[in-house]
Amino acid sequence: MSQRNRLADWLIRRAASAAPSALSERLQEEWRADLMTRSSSLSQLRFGLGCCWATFWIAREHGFATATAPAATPASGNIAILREEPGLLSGRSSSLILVILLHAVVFYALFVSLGPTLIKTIAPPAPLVPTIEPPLPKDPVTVTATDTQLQRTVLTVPRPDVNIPAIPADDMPMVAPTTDLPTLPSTSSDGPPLHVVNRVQGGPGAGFPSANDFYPSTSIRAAEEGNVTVQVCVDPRGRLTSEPTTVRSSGNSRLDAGALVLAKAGSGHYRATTEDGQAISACYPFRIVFTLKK
Amino acid sequence: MGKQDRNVRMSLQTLKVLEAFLEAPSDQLSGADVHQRCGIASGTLYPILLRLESAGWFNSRWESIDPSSEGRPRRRLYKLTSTGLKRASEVFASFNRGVLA
Repeated sequence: MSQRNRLADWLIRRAASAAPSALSERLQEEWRADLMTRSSSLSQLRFGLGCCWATFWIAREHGFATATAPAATPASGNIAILREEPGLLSGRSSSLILVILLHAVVFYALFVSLGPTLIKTIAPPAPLVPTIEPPLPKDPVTVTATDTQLQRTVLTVPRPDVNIPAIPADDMPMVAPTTDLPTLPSTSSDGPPLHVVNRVQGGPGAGFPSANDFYPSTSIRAAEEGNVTVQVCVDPRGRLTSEPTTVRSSGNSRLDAGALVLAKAGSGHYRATTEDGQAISACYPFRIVFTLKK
Repeated sequence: MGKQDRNVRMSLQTLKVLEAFLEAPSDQLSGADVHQRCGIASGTLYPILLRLESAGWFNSRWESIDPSSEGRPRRRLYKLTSTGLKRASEVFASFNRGVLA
Protein backbone atom coordinates (compact mmCIF):
# COMPACT_ATOMS: atom_id res chain seq x y z
CA MET A 1 0.00 0.00 0.00
CA SER A 2 1.46 3.33 -0.99
CA GLN A 3 1.75 6.36 1.27
CA ARG A 4 -1.45 7.81 -0.12
CA ASN A 5 -3.19 4.46 0.27
CA ARG A 6 -2.23 4.44 3.88
CA LEU A 7 -3.50 7.96 4.19
CA ALA A 8 -6.81 7.00 2.58
CA ASP A 9 -7.04 3.96 4.84
CA TRP A 10 -6.37 6.14 7.86
CA LEU A 11 -9.08 8.57 6.75
CA ILE A 12 -11.54 5.72 6.40
CA ARG A 13 -10.76 4.39 9.85
CA ARG A 14 -11.12 7.85 11.34
CA ALA A 15 -14.38 8.42 9.50
CA ALA A 16 -15.81 5.07 10.50
CA SER A 17 -14.89 5.57 14.13
CA ALA A 18 -16.75 8.88 14.12
CA ALA A 19 -19.89 7.27 12.75
CA PRO A 20 -22.66 6.01 15.04
CA SER A 21 -21.37 3.00 16.95
CA ALA A 22 -23.92 0.63 15.40
CA LEU A 23 -22.58 1.44 11.94
CA SER A 24 -18.91 1.96 12.68
CA GLU A 25 -17.60 -1.55 11.99
CA ARG A 26 -19.85 -2.05 9.01
CA LEU A 27 -18.84 1.20 7.34
CA GLN A 28 -15.15 0.59 7.92
CA GLU A 29 -15.24 -2.84 6.25
CA GLU A 30 -17.52 -1.64 3.46
CA TRP A 31 -15.42 1.41 2.68
CA ARG A 32 -12.15 -0.46 2.84
CA ALA A 33 -13.54 -3.01 0.39
CA ASP A 34 -14.70 -0.30 -1.97
CA LEU A 35 -11.37 1.49 -1.60
CA MET A 36 -9.69 -1.54 -3.17
CA THR A 37 -11.60 -0.91 -6.40
CA ARG A 38 -10.01 2.51 -6.85
CA SER A 39 -7.01 2.36 -9.07
CA SER A 40 -5.14 5.62 -8.66
CA SER A 41 -3.81 6.96 -5.42
CA LEU A 42 -5.55 10.26 -6.02
CA SER A 43 -8.86 8.51 -6.46
CA GLN A 44 -8.26 6.58 -3.26
CA LEU A 45 -7.47 9.80 -1.42
CA ARG A 46 -10.62 11.40 -2.76
CA PHE A 47 -12.57 8.35 -1.67
CA GLY A 48 -11.14 8.60 1.85
CA LEU A 49 -12.00 12.29 2.09
CA GLY A 50 -15.47 11.54 0.77
CA CYS A 51 -15.96 8.98 3.53
CA CYS A 52 -15.18 11.68 6.10
CA TRP A 53 -17.81 13.88 4.54
CA ALA A 54 -20.24 10.95 4.42
CA THR A 55 -19.73 10.33 8.13
CA PHE A 56 -20.82 13.86 8.88
CA TRP A 57 -24.17 13.35 7.16
CA ILE A 58 -24.62 9.81 8.42
CA ALA A 59 -24.03 10.95 11.97
CA ARG A 60 -26.58 13.70 11.52
CA GLU A 61 -29.22 11.43 10.03
CA HIS A 62 -28.60 8.37 12.15
CA GLY A 63 -27.25 9.96 15.29
CA PHE A 64 -30.49 9.34 17.16
CA ALA A 65 -30.99 5.85 15.74
CA THR A 66 -31.48 3.13 18.29
CA ALA A 67 -31.99 -0.57 17.94
CA THR A 68 -35.62 -1.42 18.49
CA ALA A 69 -35.73 -5.01 17.29
CA PRO A 70 -34.28 -7.84 19.31
CA ALA A 71 -32.29 -9.07 16.31
CA ALA A 72 -30.48 -5.80 16.00
CA THR A 73 -26.81 -6.26 16.69
CA PRO A 74 -23.96 -4.02 15.67
CA ALA A 75 -22.25 -6.93 14.03
CA SER A 76 -25.06 -7.42 11.58
CA GLY A 77 -24.70 -3.82 10.48
CA ASN A 78 -28.18 -3.90 9.01
CA ILE A 79 -29.65 -0.47 9.50
CA ALA A 80 -33.01 -1.64 8.21
CA ILE A 81 -33.75 -2.64 11.76
CA LEU A 82 -32.72 0.70 13.09
CA ARG A 83 -35.56 3.06 13.47
CA GLU A 84 -34.84 6.70 13.46
CA GLU A 85 -36.40 8.37 16.42
CA PRO A 86 -37.35 11.92 15.85
CA GLY A 87 -35.07 14.08 17.88
CA LEU A 88 -36.51 16.82 19.99
CA LEU A 89 -34.69 19.32 17.84
CA SER A 90 -33.19 19.05 14.42
CA GLY A 91 -29.63 20.13 13.88
CA ARG A 92 -30.72 23.36 12.29
CA SER A 93 -33.16 24.18 15.06
CA SER A 94 -30.66 23.42 17.78
CA SER A 95 -28.10 25.64 16.05
CA LEU A 96 -30.63 28.43 15.84
CA ILE A 97 -31.52 28.09 19.50
CA LEU A 98 -27.85 28.03 20.41
CA VAL A 99 -27.26 31.27 18.50
CA ILE A 100 -30.27 32.90 20.15
CA LEU A 101 -29.07 31.82 23.58
CA LEU A 102 -25.61 33.22 22.92
CA HIS A 103 -27.11 36.53 21.86
CA ALA A 104 -29.29 36.58 24.96
CA VAL A 105 -26.30 35.96 27.19
CA VAL A 106 -24.30 38.72 25.52
CA PHE A 107 -27.14 41.22 25.74
CA TYR A 108 -27.81 40.31 29.34
CA ALA A 109 -24.16 40.79 30.23
CA LEU A 110 -24.09 44.16 28.48
CA PHE A 111 -27.28 45.24 30.17
CA VAL A 112 -26.12 44.23 33.64
CA SER A 113 -22.63 45.68 33.37
CA LEU A 114 -23.12 48.73 31.22
CA GLY A 115 -26.82 49.43 31.40
CA PRO A 116 -26.98 51.83 34.35
CA THR A 117 -23.92 53.72 33.18
CA LEU A 118 -25.24 54.07 29.65
CA ILE A 119 -28.64 55.17 30.83
CA LYS A 120 -27.14 57.87 33.02
CA THR A 121 -24.76 58.97 30.31
CA ILE A 122 -26.85 59.02 27.16
CA ALA A 123 -30.40 59.16 28.38
CA PRO A 124 -32.09 62.44 27.56
CA PRO A 125 -32.75 64.61 30.57
CA ALA A 126 -36.07 64.07 32.13
CA PRO A 127 -38.56 66.92 32.22
CA LEU A 128 -37.88 69.11 35.15
CA VAL A 129 -40.29 70.30 37.71
CA PRO A 130 -38.24 72.43 40.01
CA THR A 131 -40.30 74.14 42.62
CA ILE A 132 -39.74 76.69 45.24
CA GLU A 133 -41.43 75.65 48.41
CA PRO A 134 -42.94 77.91 50.96
CA PRO A 135 -40.58 79.12 53.64
CA LEU A 136 -39.75 76.99 56.60
CA PRO A 137 -42.20 77.39 59.43
CA LYS A 138 -39.50 77.05 62.08
CA ASP A 139 -37.49 79.99 60.92
CA PRO A 140 -38.00 83.33 62.54
CA VAL A 141 -38.75 84.97 59.23
CA THR A 142 -41.22 83.30 57.00
CA VAL A 143 -40.72 83.57 53.25
CA THR A 144 -43.36 82.56 50.81
CA ALA A 145 -42.88 81.46 47.24
CA THR A 146 -45.98 82.88 45.65
CA ASP A 147 -48.39 85.66 46.30
CA THR A 148 -51.18 83.23 46.89
CA GLN A 149 -49.30 81.71 49.78
CA LEU A 150 -48.62 84.87 51.73
CA GLN A 151 -48.83 84.58 55.44
CA ARG A 152 -49.45 87.40 57.80
CA THR A 153 -47.42 87.61 60.97
CA VAL A 154 -48.83 89.63 63.79
CA LEU A 155 -46.36 90.95 66.30
CA THR A 156 -47.49 92.50 69.51
CA VAL A 157 -45.29 95.22 70.89
CA PRO A 158 -45.87 97.60 73.79
CA ARG A 159 -46.48 101.19 73.13
CA PRO A 160 -43.32 103.10 73.71
CA ASP A 161 -44.95 106.02 75.52
CA VAL A 162 -46.83 105.76 78.72
CA ASN A 163 -49.03 108.59 79.64
CA ILE A 164 -49.26 109.09 83.32
CA PRO A 165 -51.88 111.62 84.27
CA ALA A 166 -50.68 114.39 86.41
CA ILE A 167 -52.04 114.12 89.89
CA PRO A 168 -52.15 117.16 92.13
CA ALA A 169 -49.87 116.84 95.01
CA ASP A 170 -52.71 117.27 97.39
CA ASP A 171 -54.56 114.36 95.91
CA MET A 172 -51.56 112.06 95.85
CA PRO A 173 -52.20 109.09 98.04
CA MET A 174 -49.95 108.64 100.95
CA VAL A 175 -48.61 105.36 99.89
CA ALA A 176 -44.96 104.67 99.92
CA PRO A 177 -43.64 103.54 96.56
CA THR A 178 -42.74 99.93 96.49
CA THR A 179 -40.28 100.22 93.70
CA ASP A 180 -38.46 102.74 91.66
CA LEU A 181 -38.80 100.83 88.44
CA PRO A 182 -41.39 101.95 85.97
CA THR A 183 -44.32 99.72 85.68
CA LEU A 184 -44.42 97.74 82.48
CA PRO A 185 -47.63 97.96 80.60
CA SER A 186 -49.82 95.00 80.92
CA THR A 187 -51.04 92.93 78.03
CA SER A 188 -54.27 92.21 79.73
CA SER A 189 -57.45 93.69 78.57
CA ASP A 190 -57.16 96.19 81.28
CA GLY A 191 -53.87 97.57 79.96
CA PRO A 192 -53.25 100.12 77.34
CA PRO A 193 -54.04 99.22 73.69
CA LEU A 194 -51.30 97.37 71.78
CA HIS A 195 -49.76 98.44 68.52
CA VAL A 196 -50.03 95.66 65.92
CA VAL A 197 -47.41 95.56 63.17
CA ASN A 198 -48.34 93.75 60.03
CA ARG A 199 -45.17 92.17 58.74
CA VAL A 200 -45.24 90.39 55.39
CA GLN A 201 -42.07 88.60 54.62
CA GLY A 202 -40.57 88.73 51.19
CA GLY A 203 -39.64 86.00 48.78
CA PRO A 204 -39.07 85.33 45.12
CA GLY A 205 -41.16 87.81 43.19
CA ALA A 206 -42.19 88.52 39.65
CA GLY A 207 -39.48 87.92 37.10
CA PHE A 208 -37.57 85.59 39.39
CA PRO A 209 -35.52 83.22 37.24
CA SER A 210 -36.84 79.77 36.57
CA ALA A 211 -35.09 77.06 38.51
CA ASN A 212 -35.10 74.93 35.35
CA ASP A 213 -32.26 77.03 34.02
CA PHE A 214 -30.14 76.40 37.07
CA TYR A 215 -30.61 72.65 37.48
CA PRO A 216 -27.03 71.33 37.14
CA SER A 217 -26.79 69.27 33.98
CA THR A 218 -24.63 66.69 35.67
CA SER A 219 -27.26 66.28 38.35
CA ILE A 220 -29.92 65.80 35.69
CA ARG A 221 -27.98 62.98 34.04
CA ALA A 222 -27.28 61.39 37.40
CA ALA A 223 -30.93 61.86 38.48
CA GLU A 224 -29.89 63.77 41.57
CA GLU A 225 -32.64 65.51 43.52
CA GLY A 226 -32.69 67.51 46.71
CA ASN A 227 -33.82 70.53 48.70
CA VAL A 228 -31.56 73.48 49.47
CA THR A 229 -32.46 76.20 51.93
CA VAL A 230 -30.82 79.51 51.04
CA GLN A 231 -30.61 82.65 53.19
CA VAL A 232 -30.85 85.97 51.35
CA CYS A 233 -30.76 89.54 52.54
CA VAL A 234 -32.92 91.83 50.41
CA ASP A 235 -33.32 95.60 50.41
CA PRO A 236 -36.64 97.39 49.91
CA ARG A 237 -36.12 97.29 46.13
CA GLY A 238 -35.74 93.54 46.04
CA ARG A 239 -32.01 93.52 45.52
CA LEU A 240 -29.55 91.41 47.40
CA THR A 241 -27.53 93.26 49.95
CA SER A 242 -25.11 90.40 50.56
CA GLU A 243 -24.09 87.09 49.09
CA PRO A 244 -26.66 84.33 49.54
CA THR A 245 -25.65 81.58 51.91
CA THR A 246 -26.69 77.99 52.33
CA VAL A 247 -28.68 77.42 55.48
CA ARG A 248 -29.45 73.77 54.93
CA SER A 249 -27.57 71.69 52.42
CA SER A 250 -29.18 69.12 50.17
CA GLY A 251 -26.24 66.83 50.74
CA ASN A 252 -25.16 67.30 47.17
CA SER A 253 -22.58 69.94 46.39
CA ARG A 254 -23.75 70.39 42.80
CA LEU A 255 -27.33 71.10 43.84
CA ASP A 256 -26.14 73.46 46.60
CA ALA A 257 -24.04 75.40 44.13
CA GLY A 258 -26.92 75.55 41.65
CA ALA A 259 -29.21 76.93 44.35
CA LEU A 260 -26.75 79.71 45.27
CA VAL A 261 -26.36 80.68 41.63
CA LEU A 262 -30.15 80.80 41.26
CA ALA A 263 -30.52 82.93 44.41
CA LYS A 264 -27.87 85.33 43.19
CA ALA A 265 -29.35 85.56 39.72
CA GLY A 266 -32.68 86.52 41.23
CA SER A 267 -31.34 89.79 42.69
CA GLY A 268 -33.71 92.60 41.81
CA HIS A 269 -36.61 90.18 41.51
CA TYR A 270 -37.20 89.52 45.18
CA ARG A 271 -40.23 90.76 46.91
CA ALA A 272 -39.15 92.88 49.85
CA THR A 273 -40.36 92.27 53.35
CA THR A 274 -42.93 94.83 54.45
CA GLU A 275 -44.03 96.09 57.80
CA ASP A 276 -47.30 97.87 57.84
CA GLY A 277 -47.03 98.03 54.05
CA GLN A 278 -43.63 99.66 54.15
CA ALA A 279 -40.80 97.76 52.39
CA ILE A 280 -37.82 97.18 54.59
CA SER A 281 -34.48 95.46 54.35
CA ALA A 282 -34.62 92.00 55.81
CA CYS A 283 -33.03 88.61 55.63
CA TYR A 284 -34.98 85.42 55.27
CA PRO A 285 -34.47 81.87 54.13
CA PHE A 286 -36.37 80.13 51.39
CA ARG A 287 -36.23 76.66 50.02
CA ILE A 288 -35.32 75.62 46.49
CA VAL A 289 -36.39 72.14 45.48
CA PHE A 290 -34.61 70.37 42.65
CA THR A 291 -36.72 67.45 41.54
CA LEU A 292 -37.11 65.55 38.32
CA LYS A 293 -40.49 64.83 36.87
CA LYS A 294 -41.35 61.17 37.41
CA MET B 1 -46.19 2.89 2.34
CA GLY B 2 -44.77 3.41 5.74
CA LYS B 3 -43.85 6.65 7.33
CA GLN B 4 -40.21 6.06 6.47
CA ASP B 5 -40.96 6.20 2.76
CA ARG B 6 -42.06 9.77 2.98
CA ASN B 7 -38.79 10.75 4.63
CA VAL B 8 -36.71 9.95 1.55
CA ARG B 9 -35.55 13.15 -0.02
CA MET B 10 -35.64 12.98 -3.79
CA SER B 11 -32.52 14.83 -4.76
CA LEU B 12 -30.88 14.56 -8.15
CA GLN B 13 -28.20 12.28 -6.69
CA THR B 14 -30.85 10.04 -5.12
CA LEU B 15 -32.57 9.71 -8.48
CA LYS B 16 -29.25 8.77 -10.07
CA VAL B 17 -28.71 6.03 -7.49
CA LEU B 18 -32.22 4.70 -8.00
CA GLU B 19 -31.73 4.77 -11.75
CA ALA B 20 -28.56 2.70 -11.38
CA PHE B 21 -30.51 0.04 -9.50
CA LEU B 22 -33.52 0.17 -11.83
CA GLU B 23 -31.34 -0.74 -14.82
CA ALA B 24 -31.20 -4.24 -13.36
CA PRO B 25 -33.48 -4.43 -10.34
CA SER B 26 -32.42 -7.92 -9.41
CA ASP B 27 -28.72 -7.04 -9.26
CA GLN B 28 -26.91 -6.59 -6.01
CA LEU B 29 -24.61 -3.62 -6.18
CA SER B 30 -21.85 -2.45 -3.89
CA GLY B 31 -21.09 1.17 -3.32
CA ALA B 32 -18.19 0.91 -5.73
CA ASP B 33 -20.53 -0.50 -8.40
CA VAL B 34 -22.96 2.35 -7.96
CA HIS B 35 -20.12 4.81 -8.18
CA GLN B 36 -18.99 3.29 -11.48
CA ARG B 37 -22.54 3.47 -12.89
CA CYS B 38 -23.57 6.97 -11.86
CA GLY B 39 -20.31 8.64 -10.85
CA ILE B 40 -21.50 9.94 -7.52
CA ALA B 41 -18.71 10.66 -5.03
CA SER B 42 -18.42 8.63 -1.86
CA GLY B 43 -19.29 11.58 0.38
CA THR B 44 -22.73 11.73 -1.20
CA LEU B 45 -23.24 8.12 -2.20
CA TYR B 46 -23.05 6.32 1.14
CA PRO B 47 -25.46 8.62 3.01
CA ILE B 48 -27.96 8.04 0.19
CA LEU B 49 -27.53 4.27 0.34
CA LEU B 50 -28.01 4.24 4.10
CA ARG B 51 -30.98 6.58 3.85
CA LEU B 52 -32.75 4.40 1.30
CA GLU B 53 -31.95 1.28 3.27
CA SER B 54 -33.29 2.88 6.43
CA ALA B 55 -36.45 3.78 4.52
CA GLY B 56 -36.93 0.18 3.45
CA TRP B 57 -36.22 0.73 -0.23
CA PHE B 58 -32.99 -1.28 -0.09
CA ASN B 59 -31.75 -4.19 1.86
CA SER B 60 -28.13 -5.13 2.16
CA ARG B 61 -25.92 -8.08 3.02
CA TRP B 62 -22.26 -8.88 3.17
CA GLU B 63 -20.55 -10.44 0.19
CA SER B 64 -20.15 -14.23 0.64
CA ILE B 65 -16.41 -14.52 0.59
CA ASP B 66 -13.66 -15.37 3.03
CA PRO B 67 -11.71 -12.14 3.48
CA SER B 68 -8.56 -13.94 4.57
CA SER B 69 -8.46 -16.18 1.54
CA GLU B 70 -9.50 -13.43 -0.86
CA GLY B 71 -7.06 -10.96 0.66
CA ARG B 72 -9.59 -8.16 0.77
CA PRO B 73 -12.52 -7.04 2.94
CA ARG B 74 -16.05 -8.09 2.18
CA ARG B 75 -18.18 -5.80 0.11
CA ARG B 76 -21.57 -4.64 1.22
CA LEU B 77 -24.15 -5.46 -1.44
CA TYR B 78 -27.37 -3.51 -1.84
CA LYS B 79 -30.52 -4.67 -3.55
CA LEU B 80 -33.85 -3.05 -4.22
CA THR B 81 -36.69 -4.39 -2.11
CA SER B 82 -40.12 -4.91 -3.58
CA THR B 83 -41.23 -1.76 -1.83
CA GLY B 84 -38.21 0.10 -3.12
CA LEU B 85 -38.80 -1.11 -6.63
CA LYS B 86 -42.42 0.00 -6.53
CA ARG B 87 -41.67 3.36 -5.02
CA ALA B 88 -38.75 4.06 -7.32
CA SER B 89 -40.91 3.18 -10.32
CA GLU B 90 -43.62 5.51 -9.08
CA VAL B 91 -41.14 8.30 -8.65
CA PHE B 92 -39.81 8.00 -12.18
CA ALA B 93 -43.32 7.54 -13.57
CA SER B 94 -44.40 10.77 -11.91
CA PHE B 95 -41.42 12.54 -13.42
CA ASN B 96 -42.29 11.20 -16.85
CA ARG B 97 -45.88 12.36 -16.47
CA GLY B 98 -44.64 15.74 -15.47
CA VAL B 99 -42.40 15.97 -18.49
CA LEU B 100 -45.10 14.80 -20.91
CA ALA B 101 -47.67 17.15 -19.51
